[in-house]
Amino acid sequence: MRLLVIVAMLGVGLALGGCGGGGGGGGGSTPPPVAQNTQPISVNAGPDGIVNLAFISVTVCAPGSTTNCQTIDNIQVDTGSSGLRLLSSVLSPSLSLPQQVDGNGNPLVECIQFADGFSWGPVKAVDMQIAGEQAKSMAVQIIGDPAFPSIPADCSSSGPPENDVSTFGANGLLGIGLLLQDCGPACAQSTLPGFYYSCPQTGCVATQVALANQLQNPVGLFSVDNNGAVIELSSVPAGGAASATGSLIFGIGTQANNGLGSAKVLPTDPTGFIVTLFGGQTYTTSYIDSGSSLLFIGFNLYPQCTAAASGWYCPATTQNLSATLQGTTGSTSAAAFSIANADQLFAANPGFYAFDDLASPGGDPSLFAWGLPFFYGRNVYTAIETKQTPGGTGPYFAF
Amino acid sequence: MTIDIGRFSRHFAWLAGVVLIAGSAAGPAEASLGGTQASVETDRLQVGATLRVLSSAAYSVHELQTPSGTVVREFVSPAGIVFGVAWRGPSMPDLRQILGTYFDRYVEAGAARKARGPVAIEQPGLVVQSAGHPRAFVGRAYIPEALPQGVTADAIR
Repeated sequence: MRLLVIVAMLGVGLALGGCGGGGGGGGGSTPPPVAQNTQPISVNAGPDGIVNLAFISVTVCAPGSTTNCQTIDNIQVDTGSSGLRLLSSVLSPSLSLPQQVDGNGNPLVECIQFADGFSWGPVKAVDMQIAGEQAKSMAVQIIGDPAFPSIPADCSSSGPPENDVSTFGANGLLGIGLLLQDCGPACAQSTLPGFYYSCPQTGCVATQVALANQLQNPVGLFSVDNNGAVIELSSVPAGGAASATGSLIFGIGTQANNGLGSAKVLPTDPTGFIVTLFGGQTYTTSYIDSGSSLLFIGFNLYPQCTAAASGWYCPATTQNLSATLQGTTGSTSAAAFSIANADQLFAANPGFYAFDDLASPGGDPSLFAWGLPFFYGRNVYTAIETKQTPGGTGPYFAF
Repeated sequence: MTIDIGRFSRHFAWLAGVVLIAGSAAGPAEASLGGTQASVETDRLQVGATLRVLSSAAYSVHELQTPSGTVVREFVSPAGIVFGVAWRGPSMPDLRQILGTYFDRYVEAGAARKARGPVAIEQPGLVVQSAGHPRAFVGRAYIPEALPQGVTADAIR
């Protein structure tokens, strides 16, 4: 059954790829007229040779225009954040996206902080089109825009800068996570460093931003298929593969191709965490995140790699394992997974970028982050907070 | 001897009664990780946090509640050295402040890796781990060589 589904999805992917491809090119191209809810995914070397990044293409247009558009490829799909972010350097200047301003008319600029670094750039407006779905006049962050070169200290204090394609690892990021906004009520109610800034000529200062003016989960803005998304990735062999393919399907239970089927629903806490039971331990900081390249698990579980994958887990032989993921309501779903010796895998096939068996220590002894390795050979559902689905109200993960 | 974390946690309710709000002026911008206990106060003022202090025989924990809701815990040895820091909450903490002189090492090592997502850096004299996603972060940093006698890295969280 799964094989049939994958073959069918590949067919859709190829058909879409034929008309929606291109990328980084100039503006003025007509957006693809397809009306499916399915966008092909590719895991490949991408612009910076990082393993296990899932890429799609996205079409962006100047607000209100159907002709001043640009299709951009190598956009990373991220179930761990919300909002569309594009690197300034890949945008066609002819798009001329309008700068968003605060109540005083000053430019609004965002700092987005990730676990591994930060990105800085202005908030502009865009019409986004993807697989026949549309999000109009949507706030988008333009990362690395030379018009705003000065980064506030309380933005850059979270780690390495990720303000160009090589350090970001992609041409942009499509955040289709559990939450409706990237910051949410906290930024609407108080002035927090490291999120939104008002940037008059005199310099940038942190500012509050109403919910409606923050970066939004684009899926939540669609007129249909707007309660979540499904990521379906093909399986990869134990030794990895040069690339992998799959589909990003919008909506949960809204069309014939996005039903939950036998998937178990795992409601998350308000911040997106679930629990993972593994090896007799209870990992209370657990989440499913297509934007992470690896499985990130606990601390000191296996010997660490010393060569190309220095710092990651490198067991002497591949560990075939099982864990139980548990939602806040107590519902559970079991997951088989493997951890291989990353140094050996990389040495054997330096041109491979898709691996389902790479893991690393994480950020805390309580951490179990299910990154992209988890997604291969599975259908993974991400339901958005407050949205109704046949499996209940989001936020939840299901697989 | 290893600190019993379960027992330590159960003592929180009692220890919460021992709340110290330090009000002295900011000192010089000392490093926090690897710095002296005085640097905790520098950090508190820098991030606008409230502070409470939890003590055990082996170390004390200075817990800073930042305005965003992120909690930063700084672990101070009996000798008065900050040997570890941990954080949890909706925004990343000011790592430049709480890692002090170790911040540049962290940024350099973090930028060199070929992965996205959580960070786990282990070098002689420095471990930094950072995970989570926007609106839910967790992480810690410590100096393995500076852990007090009988204290394991598992305590730093």
